[in-house]
Amino acid sequence: MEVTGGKARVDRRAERQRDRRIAVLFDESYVKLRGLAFVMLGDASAAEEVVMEAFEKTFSGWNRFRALEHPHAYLRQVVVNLCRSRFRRQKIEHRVNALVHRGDLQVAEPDVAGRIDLWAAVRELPERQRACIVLRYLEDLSEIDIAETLDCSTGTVKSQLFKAKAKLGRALGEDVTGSDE
Amino acid sequence: MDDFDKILSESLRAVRDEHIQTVTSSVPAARREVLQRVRRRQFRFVITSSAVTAAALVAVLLITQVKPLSKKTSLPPASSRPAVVASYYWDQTPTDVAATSDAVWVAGTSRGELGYIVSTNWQVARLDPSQESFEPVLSGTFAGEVMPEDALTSLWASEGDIYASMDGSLSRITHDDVAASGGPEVGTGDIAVTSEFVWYSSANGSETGFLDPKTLEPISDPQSAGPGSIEQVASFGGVNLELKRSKAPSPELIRVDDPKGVAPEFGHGTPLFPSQGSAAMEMSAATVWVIEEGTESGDVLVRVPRTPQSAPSTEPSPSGVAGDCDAAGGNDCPETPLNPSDDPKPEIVELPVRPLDIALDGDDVWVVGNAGGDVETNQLVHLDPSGKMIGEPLDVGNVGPAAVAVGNGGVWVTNANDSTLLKVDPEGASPSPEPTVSDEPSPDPSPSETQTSVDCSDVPFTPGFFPEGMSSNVGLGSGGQEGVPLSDQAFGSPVMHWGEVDVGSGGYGDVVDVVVGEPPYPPGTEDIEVLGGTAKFGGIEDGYMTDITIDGCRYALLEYMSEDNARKFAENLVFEGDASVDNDGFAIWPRHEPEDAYLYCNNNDNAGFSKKNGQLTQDAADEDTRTIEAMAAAGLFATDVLGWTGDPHPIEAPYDLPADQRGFTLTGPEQNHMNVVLRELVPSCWFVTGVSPADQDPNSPTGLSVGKDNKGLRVGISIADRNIQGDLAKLVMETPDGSRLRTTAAEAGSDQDEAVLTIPLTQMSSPTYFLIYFEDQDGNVLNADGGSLPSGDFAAG
Repeated sequence: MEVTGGKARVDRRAERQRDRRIAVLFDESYVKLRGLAFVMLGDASAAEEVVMEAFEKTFSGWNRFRALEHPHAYLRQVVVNLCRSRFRRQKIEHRVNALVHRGDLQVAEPDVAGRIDLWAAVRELPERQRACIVLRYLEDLSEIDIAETLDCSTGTVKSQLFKAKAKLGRALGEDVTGSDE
Repeated sequence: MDDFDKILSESLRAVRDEHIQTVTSSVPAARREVLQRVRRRQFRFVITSSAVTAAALVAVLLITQVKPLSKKTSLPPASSRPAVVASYYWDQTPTDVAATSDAVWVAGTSRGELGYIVSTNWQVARLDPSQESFEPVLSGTFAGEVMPEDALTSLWASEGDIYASMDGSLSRITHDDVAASGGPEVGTGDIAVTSEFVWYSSANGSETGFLDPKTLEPISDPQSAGPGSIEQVASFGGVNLELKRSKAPSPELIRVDDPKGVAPEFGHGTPLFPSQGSAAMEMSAATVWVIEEGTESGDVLVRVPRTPQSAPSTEPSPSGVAGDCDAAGGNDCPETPLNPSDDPKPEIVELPVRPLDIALDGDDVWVVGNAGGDVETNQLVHLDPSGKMIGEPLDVGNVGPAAVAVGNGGVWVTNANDSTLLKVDPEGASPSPEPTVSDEPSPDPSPSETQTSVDCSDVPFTPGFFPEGMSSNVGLGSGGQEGVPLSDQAFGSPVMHWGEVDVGSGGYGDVVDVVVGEPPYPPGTEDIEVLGGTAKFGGIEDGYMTDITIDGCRYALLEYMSEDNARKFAENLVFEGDASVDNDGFAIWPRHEPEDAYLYCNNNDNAGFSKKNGQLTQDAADEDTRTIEAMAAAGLFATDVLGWTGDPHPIEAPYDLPADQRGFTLTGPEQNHMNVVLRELVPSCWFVTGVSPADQDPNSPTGLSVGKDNKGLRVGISIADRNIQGDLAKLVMETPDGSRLRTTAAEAGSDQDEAVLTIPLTQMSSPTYFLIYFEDQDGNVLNADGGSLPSGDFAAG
């Protein structure tokens, strides 16, 4: 006689909802975040790695993430932070690990001359200034939102934007800050 | 200025838009990969957690040896701890499993776009262990898309036959063929099979009826279930029970004395707990077990003792030998009714998992379920008839739908997420012979055959140093057991997690697992040289796999990294204990080579060992003396390296320590804590081989990177910002001359997260060690890591 008895449908609502919500959030965010990371890093492969890492880290802590009021903003924050980390890590690796081709970042060449100059100048900015510029002019975030994303004060954001624009202006031979400096 | 803003904005958007045009087509593949990574990551975390749990018990045992006054705690004997002894990959998504005396069967659905999520086809297959494959017996297409947890594919075993409910229709399957198909027009919900009838409830629970168990032809007209709906049915020893929900929210257990002829007496059942549904019900001679979903406590396992509770078991054991009691109650069945007048008391069984499925093993029960909280994996739990847990929970794959069955020589567990069928040996023995698929009974192995069986449970190799350009650090990852040499990692068979590997790829998936036994993927076709022999190498779903056979034991190295690195990783494996190769990436201070340790100890007059005929010999020292020696070394580490006053106490945490290791908790000046593990590298000479926070968070890898300057000037350690925990990262490095350098390497919230501690390379002709630990503003240690820098003559570099 073999085992007999009841066995019926098992409703794994939680897992189903989680995977579906992850899929929806992914589809809503992935392309935008890839674009953001690419502009930040200037490297398509690095942008892909950063965005995938952001999703992996974020969704792995699903129980925390699902309680967030603004999940897209959170994902963007993670991507920006990872981009900044990667940028700094690159800098360290270039210096410490003796990468002889320092500064020779592999970048896809845009086809518009003005864009080349401006984007190249943005990528030469220090990482925090670069992040401020990208969040302000690509993502259209307010200074308050930028401060929240970068976990700093609005005063810092203002000063970073000011300095960044001054550097961009110098790189382009313009005064874009409106100051007398 | 406004114009400039506009130009800047347009320029950046143009760059972005141009880029994302190339991205759109890759979204589905990327989505799939993210889901896989999330599940794998969670699996890694839980492996660590379960290992930590087991290690904690061992640590308790260790403490009891040090403190005789402590109450002794013991682990269950090894022979009573279940172990996964075989893993079979199915190219479908398994949703149920059943075992007969001569075969194991799985039912499942096709793999959906998102892994296991959405399916369109179903299949029933029989495991052929000799071919390591599944032979399809029955297949079909759903009316629409389904989720595997919709459980539209279910199996039952009875008298050597399999009953399969596929998308509402019922089939009886013999060993080789589909013997009958049919079933009620209303579709089937749960069924119970005896030698006399198949008792079914309809898909919505509103009707019930009976079929001939051989032909599946109706033997009585369907009858209404009355008020409410039937959720589960069970039949054992002539007792028939239905779980019925007529008065929400509590379902009732109702005994149906004559299910074929008389409608049950409504309203005289045993009420269970308020819930939203039920997932399974099983009845043995002593107990009725029910999984109730959506109770106040979540999903729970409910135990309802039958009376008398001392009734002997007549159910089949995992060996598949059935008792004499037949379900119709005709043969020697004990009088074990569950009757409303007996007033049985349902109780919720405390479990470490959220139950998904149950299977009887005599009067015992096996439960497969999801571990709770952020640790999302499936575990198998063994309970005695009183609901008491036997042994420790066993990890059985990633979180997701799962089913369990008992029979054919083992406990069988499916995992929909991993697409695996696992065979579990309840006795925890070494890998057993594969289940036979022959109709002939298996002969008992002779004593000599038993003695010559090979134990493949120990992985005999470890990662060696990587070639130029690759880091020497192995472990330190989210799933690694920090501070414990690779060979001593205590993860359960068959998957041994080697943690994350920093191979300098800058990638995010540098993970290595070792599967003992059959590889979970088809072997690759390329031959590569590994450990002096030849191994098969090839791509797998999201990484690479090296399939190695050593001394008759088979190992699959799962390498989630780039192809080049996976190949190099495999090619640089070394045999465990090979003295010519430094294969211990964990030792941090002050030496990890026995000879160095000998010199150190000798120079410091700190050891009670001797060297005779060129061999180090161990002085006779009892366990307590050795512990005191280790404690002294831990105190030295606290004062010399950490700058703490140090007051080592035997560790109460997370290391499964071999006999030659000891663990201690150090207390800092601010009452902060850190755990250290010391190893007796030479007799009576102890060295720190691992550090960790007192309450280790396995989710927080420190992720160090180590490099050197091409001009031969310095060696540094950089710390990625995301890996900084708390407020400060402190770094200690030791040079071969014994001097130590300390610095605050990084400070969170500032730009100082990339400090490099430098050492003149003139001192760097042999390995040097580092330790890094993170503190919050109160000085509490949040995490710690250590390792050796790459060996070699740096000065020549």
